[in-house]
Amino acid sequence: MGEIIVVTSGKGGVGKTTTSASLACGFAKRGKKTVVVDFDIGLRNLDLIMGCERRVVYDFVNVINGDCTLKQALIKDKRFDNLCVLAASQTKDKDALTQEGVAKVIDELKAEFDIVLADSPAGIERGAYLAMYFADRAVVVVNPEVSSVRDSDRVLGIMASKSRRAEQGQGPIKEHLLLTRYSPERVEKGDMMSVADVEEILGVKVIGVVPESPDVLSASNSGVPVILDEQADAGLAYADAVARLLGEERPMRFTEPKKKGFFQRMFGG
Amino acid sequence: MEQRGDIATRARDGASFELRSGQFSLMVLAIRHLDLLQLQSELSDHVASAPALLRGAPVVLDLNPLSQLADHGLLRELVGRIHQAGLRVIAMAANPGAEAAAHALDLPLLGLDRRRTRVVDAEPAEPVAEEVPAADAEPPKPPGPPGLQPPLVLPGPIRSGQQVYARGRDLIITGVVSAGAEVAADGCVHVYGRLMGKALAGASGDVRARIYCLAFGAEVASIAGNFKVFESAPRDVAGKAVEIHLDEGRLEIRPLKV
Ligand SMILES: Nc1ncnc2c1ncn2[C@@H]1O[C@H](COP(=O)(O)OP(=O)(O)OP(=O)(O)O)[C@@H](O)[C@H]1O
Ligand SMILES: [Mg+2]
Repeated sequence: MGEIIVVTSGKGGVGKTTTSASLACGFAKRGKKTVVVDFDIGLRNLDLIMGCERRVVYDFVNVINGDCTLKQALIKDKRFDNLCVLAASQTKDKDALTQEGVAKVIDELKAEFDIVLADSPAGIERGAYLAMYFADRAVVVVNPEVSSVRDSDRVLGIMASKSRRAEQGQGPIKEHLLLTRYSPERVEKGDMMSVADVEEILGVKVIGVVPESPDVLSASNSGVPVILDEQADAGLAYADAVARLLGEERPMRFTEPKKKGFFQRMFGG
Repeated sequence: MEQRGDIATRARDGASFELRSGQFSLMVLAIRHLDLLQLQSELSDHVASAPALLRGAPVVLDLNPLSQLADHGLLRELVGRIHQAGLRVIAMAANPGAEAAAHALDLPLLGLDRRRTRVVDAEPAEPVAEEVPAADAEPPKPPGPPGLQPPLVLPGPIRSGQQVYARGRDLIITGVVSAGAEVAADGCVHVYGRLMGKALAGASGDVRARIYCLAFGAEVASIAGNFKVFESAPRDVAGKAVEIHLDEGRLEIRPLKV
């Protein structure tokens, strides 16, 4: 039986889809049979970041409605043959995701894959709720700023009180924090919350710290998740997070300001 | 306050009703000055600060002697404004001279015993807890001294958006209360962690209730309806272990010497 990991946040635009795509590739690269599911019904972003948008024929809602089989809707990744994507539907019907429908698809995926990653939409409405309801573990993506931290706190609270695991007496969803868009320089200047601040407020340890980096946007634009860019700090940070999610110990990187070289210090820049 | 009906009459067997005595604890809304606009806005804010506890809650109106003299049109408007602010006036406190006002408002008079404010087993009209950690379910009562309610003990964190209410007893949180969370008890509130959200002790009017926390940063603290909103924690107590109590109707916060 596979494990269901939800990538969620409460607040929008903090990096859930970026994270889902990179974790999915990371797990696949580490040999896990992985599927990543886009729960953001109506918007559909994950397929773009994964670089498979042209091959979307059927989507999540089609499967639920019985328009196609699950197999038909799964898009195989071109880079890893143990990685699949299930795209979101672009329907405007917010009720397209039903609890029974999602349960059926999730359980089928769980039987087939080692890891089922759920890319949650922002907010705490139906899509977000269903994405987290079935999860065994949660990666709560948080940016080091007050409103993102507050929303994550809210989401952690909802998760603690409503989940299939809890209802079936299997204990709570295991929680992890992933701090993204982190800028050690700004933390040092005192205009951004630090890793320790966020951990203290939320009472959960971070599983990774992904620095703010222009590499993320260029990776997204080219449909290659940033984790596959081995020159990028953000990519290496995601690879560390994958290792930690698999139970390995890795020291934190990219949490200290970059030391400037001698010439840079002399001449600025 | 405590309202106790004497066992009145026993209906004959097989009657369509049964008349029993019941004990309820109610909140008392004491009017300090009869400024309707100010009252409505302050009261609305107060209700909004603890909606789970206060919205739609029945209250007993306690008019001071001066307010009782107000003309009856004004008193009716007062009740209307209280209603708009989210509370429901169901009776009037039987202060000396209150009969005329009660009659005008068509409200029953309830005796108010000012010496004793012990709160008895309260059964508010509405369920209050939403998204409360599972532990909120009433634990079976263990044998113990009669009349002693065991506290409601919850592990933290109580997170933003969660509300907890310990009815008729103390509340103990062994962890953090996040900003945006609300913890309330008819008795005392103890937080063994940081208190960043709202804390309400003496929620049914017990002025002796107190709030304790290991690190103070509350958004709102209230005891028996006397509340303070903190834009930021006062310097001398910010982040410190504190005790909050009522001193002649004023909320006092003092660092605990530990
Ligand atoms: N570490 C990073 N450094 C710089 N930019 C980033 C980083 N992570 C994410 N971004 C950018 O932030 C934006 C939002 O990212 P993303 O779409 O992954 O967020 P989301 O949480 O999925 O948003 P939504 O709530 O709309 O689904 C994107 O433009 C992305 O490129
Ligand atoms: Mg997204």
